[in-house]
Amino acid sequence: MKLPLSWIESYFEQQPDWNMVWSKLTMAGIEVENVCPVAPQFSGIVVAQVVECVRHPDADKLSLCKVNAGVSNQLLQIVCGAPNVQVGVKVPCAKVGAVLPDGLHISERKMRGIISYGMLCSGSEIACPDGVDGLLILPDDAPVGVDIRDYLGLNEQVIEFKITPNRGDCLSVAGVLREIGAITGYKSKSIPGIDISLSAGYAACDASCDTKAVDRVQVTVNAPEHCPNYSGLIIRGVDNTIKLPEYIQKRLIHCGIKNISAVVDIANYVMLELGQPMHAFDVAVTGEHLQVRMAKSNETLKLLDGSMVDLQDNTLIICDSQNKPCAIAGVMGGFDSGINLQTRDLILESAYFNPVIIAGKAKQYAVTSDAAHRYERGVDPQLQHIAILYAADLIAQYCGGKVGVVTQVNNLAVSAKHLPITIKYSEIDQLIGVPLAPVQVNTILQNLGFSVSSHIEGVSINVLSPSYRFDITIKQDIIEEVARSYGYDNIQPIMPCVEADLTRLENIQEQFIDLKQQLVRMGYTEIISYSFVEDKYEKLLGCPSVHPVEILNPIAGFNVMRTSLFAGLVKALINNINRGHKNIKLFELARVFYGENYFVDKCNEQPLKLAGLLYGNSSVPKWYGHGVEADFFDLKHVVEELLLGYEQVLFSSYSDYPVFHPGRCAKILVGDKLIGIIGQIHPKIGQQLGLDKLPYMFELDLSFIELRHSLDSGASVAKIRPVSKFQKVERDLAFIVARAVASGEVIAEIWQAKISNLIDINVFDVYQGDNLTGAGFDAGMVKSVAVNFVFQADKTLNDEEINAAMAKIIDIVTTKFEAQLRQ
Amino acid sequence: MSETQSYTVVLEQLPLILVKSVQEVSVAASLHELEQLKAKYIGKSGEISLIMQQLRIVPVDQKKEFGAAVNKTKAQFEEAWIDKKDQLLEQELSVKLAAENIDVTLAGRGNPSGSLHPISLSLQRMLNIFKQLGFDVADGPEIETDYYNFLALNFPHNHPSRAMQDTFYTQNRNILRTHTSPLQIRFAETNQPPLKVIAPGRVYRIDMDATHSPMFHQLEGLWVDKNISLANLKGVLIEFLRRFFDNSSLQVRFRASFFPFTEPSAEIDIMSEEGKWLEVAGCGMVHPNVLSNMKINPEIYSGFAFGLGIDRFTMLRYGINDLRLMFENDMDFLTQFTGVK
Repeated sequence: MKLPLSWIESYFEQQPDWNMVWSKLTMAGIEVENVCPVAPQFSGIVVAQVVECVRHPDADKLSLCKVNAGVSNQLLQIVCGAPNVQVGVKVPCAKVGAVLPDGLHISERKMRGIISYGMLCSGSEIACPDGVDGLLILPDDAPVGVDIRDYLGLNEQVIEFKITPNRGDCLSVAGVLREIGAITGYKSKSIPGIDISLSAGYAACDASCDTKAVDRVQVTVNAPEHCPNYSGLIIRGVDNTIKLPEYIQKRLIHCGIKNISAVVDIANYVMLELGQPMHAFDVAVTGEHLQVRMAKSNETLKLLDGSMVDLQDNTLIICDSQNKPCAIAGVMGGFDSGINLQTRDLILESAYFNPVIIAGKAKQYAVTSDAAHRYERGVDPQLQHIAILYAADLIAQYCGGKVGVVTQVNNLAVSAKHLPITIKYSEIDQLIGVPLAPVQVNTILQNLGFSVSSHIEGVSINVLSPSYRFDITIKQDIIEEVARSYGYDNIQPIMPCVEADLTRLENIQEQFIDLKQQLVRMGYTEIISYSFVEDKYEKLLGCPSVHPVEILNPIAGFNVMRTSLFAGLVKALINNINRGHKNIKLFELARVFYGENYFVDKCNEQPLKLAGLLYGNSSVPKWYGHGVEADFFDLKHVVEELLLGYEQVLFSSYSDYPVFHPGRCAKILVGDKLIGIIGQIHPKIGQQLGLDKLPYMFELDLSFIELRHSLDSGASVAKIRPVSKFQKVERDLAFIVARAVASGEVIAEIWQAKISNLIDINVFDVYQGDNLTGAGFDAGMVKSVAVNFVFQADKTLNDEEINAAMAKIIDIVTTKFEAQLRQ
Repeated sequence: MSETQSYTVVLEQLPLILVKSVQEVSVAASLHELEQLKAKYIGKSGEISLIMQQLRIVPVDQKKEFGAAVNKTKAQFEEAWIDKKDQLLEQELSVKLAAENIDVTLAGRGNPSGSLHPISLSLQRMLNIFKQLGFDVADGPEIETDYYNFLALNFPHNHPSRAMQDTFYTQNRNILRTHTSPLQIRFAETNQPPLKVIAPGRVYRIDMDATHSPMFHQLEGLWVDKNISLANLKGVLIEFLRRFFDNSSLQVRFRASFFPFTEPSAEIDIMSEEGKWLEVAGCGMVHPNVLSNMKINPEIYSGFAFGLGIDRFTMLRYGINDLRLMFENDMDFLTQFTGVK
């Protein structure tokens, strides 16, 4: 909300230190966002009159003017290019030495051979755009020589308040004055409306009350719970074409509200001054009977802004004598029933609508409305009568007309829940954390307009808030009032006592950080990508068995929640390839979405995943060596490192995952639990994405992570076996086996046999050249696998024992895997 | 010449031999030459050895004197010889070492580290600070229900932030959580007071420009116990802010404000290096309606809650001026955080 400072100032005999006031209000929750003049800085521009005007001898489009700019006995010679310059007009004139808003300094300047001693200005050149192509033509009575800033009131400061939604009572001059008084102690003169001196118009209205021919609007409220108070009155014979005093017009403009017509401007003025939205109907259109009811869903209404809306049955409306809609209550009036310059007789409306029924309606009908802005935050339910009298008085004063009697339909009891709140001083002290003297609490509350009475002497009080503080409903609201008036800055910070507590040894977040750190040390860079993706990426890279959650109102095409982290990694990959990066290692830790539930039967539909991507070289060319192109096993190593400490980690080949190359993909298992997948992106997908090389990716479900430390995990700590002092014995074995046989399975089978003293098995060579043959195999269908076995015992092992062990191993590979020993 | 005479003559030669031999040793240019000199003087038929052989003709009473004289010369030669040998070995080594010189300024071998995302760096700092105060860490779903995201947090039914213009909805009318505050309720449902918890995570709002992202990160905090006060809220958060920004004299102010789920409420501003107040967090005393929704008796317990934007803290700490950089995942941006604390 914007208010010009002069409007506020007009209520103070002695001007406060405004900077102090704004900073105190800001600290107390009435944030002053901005204090700035209505026009930017410029100087040296005055009101001037064109005395002579002839064509420039050497330029068709330029005029040569003699200008009276108030410089004693001297006319300034000024060359001007504006089309609307002519003898007699009064215009802004930048004299030599002037500085324009854009920083331009005006000096004597030769224009086509003739010196110009200044410049005549357009509206936009002095930051007062009027939409006219040419000079800003000032009224004939503008005083020559006066600084244009003073003449146009451009030094006026506009104060911009950011009012929180609970403080609708501050959306007016009256509200701001109340708050200034309570928070800074600077008391204003009488608050407008509360203490108005009524002039001729209201006197007439009063007098007419006695006559039998009472002129009043008939009001029927069919929805009293939504409209607890409706005041209306008729004014007949107004002249809506008159010009309101300039200060009223300027105040409205500085508040950001356009001048429309005298009556509408007065209605807006009263709203800004008191906080009560007003509306005026043309009696000739509506008749003298207004009805307040809920709209029916087949009704339509053309609104004041020209838009045609289909009313919905959640909307409170005002209807005319024919029961036809003529306004959306508290939001916007109808186009046809609104007043215009020709209107003579009108109905003025000053109502209290329940915030709940107004809330969201401006958005629903896509209009902006100052009235709705106030109604949905709440208006003082006792303000309607005062406001309508004040507005009627102003209308009668400026537009003339005969004011009727106020019709007031009051159902305030429906919404009245304005009861005193009983609160203990100790409750206030405890929640704020500062001991306050009871008298201090009482004073603060009374300054805010609350009435305070003792409940139990020195212990508790009854507090009744004023009608405009409808936001005060519970004890904590009162405590907040005390705290913000006392000043949050005056509350001494106190660190609470923290009990030593060893149960929080570690949490899962810290383990996530450790996983991330491991990846970082292995050269991977963390990314954070959006949780929603375009469905085309989801189709290519998402989890194949899941239908993704769709977003009803997506932004920028991100219309589904991702079911895999791969899309984010691949999109980041493509961006970085486009930016010239060649070797890319990325990872992300985030949620994916299989459904909209969290835990259903212990099944989490929004699990956390950790995924990585490897593209290009695994090592980059350096002075010590060439780069090496990355492959599956580079990324597999990364996963193995992440899973260190987990027993029975198994990679088993998996050819059915559509994202991955069928021959270069594995499921990742811990024991018999599937925890992830790893592979090279499918060439078909790579082609669709325009990738020259196919990246490798993995994704792990983080639900397998267990807390490493808790007070009950001692039993599961790994125990270390004693170190043998005896020599290790190594034996190598090479065998030929079908290419389809997974070496991991062979090794697992050997471990399964629990051969005594066997402590390590390493595959140290795999060869599958086309010239390699095995009995019973076609050429090119076999591979040679060379394995190193390590034995150790608590004694020196002899050849016989080793040979026996090796015989067992040979038996396993030859019988279970149809392998042949390689000679 | 008698044999007696001849041995005295021989004895007189000793100093000359010594001078000559030491001179030759001193100019020897290589270990090989040095070995030859050893043979020449103290080898089997070396000059000094030959003199020693004269011992047999020396009269008995003078043998001792003769032997001592020859041995002394031999010892002096050997001393000079060893010194020279050490010197030559030293020279030879330094030549070898000089040849083995490496350029220590070349990069070390091995693949360089990657980097954590700056938001992770910030989160890590935040977790560390609150861990020291004994806070738990809570986690929860990002697709939320209206109840947890709005209703339980005392948002009125018609609150503007429920509008489709501001909040993402799924086809089943669930919500992409608009803040981390639902985690307050979820944590309280499964834990008994005293509650002391932070909850970081992704949140979503419909907004996209240089200072807004449709997805961003918040950290929620909640401390509920008997007698928790606004003064405690100030104590904890001022300490947190000063530690996070590594600035023990950071100016912090608490400004009255409004949130549906706290009463009293405050915005927290910090003073920037340019001397301007920057809004960094919202906080307040947990609203009694929210405590009731947590099944906590507001007449017995009180608490404070706060919420801050991890992204904003990250931008302030590292001088990042465009929020979009955070989610473009450009390696030229991300790799700048390698090794950054």
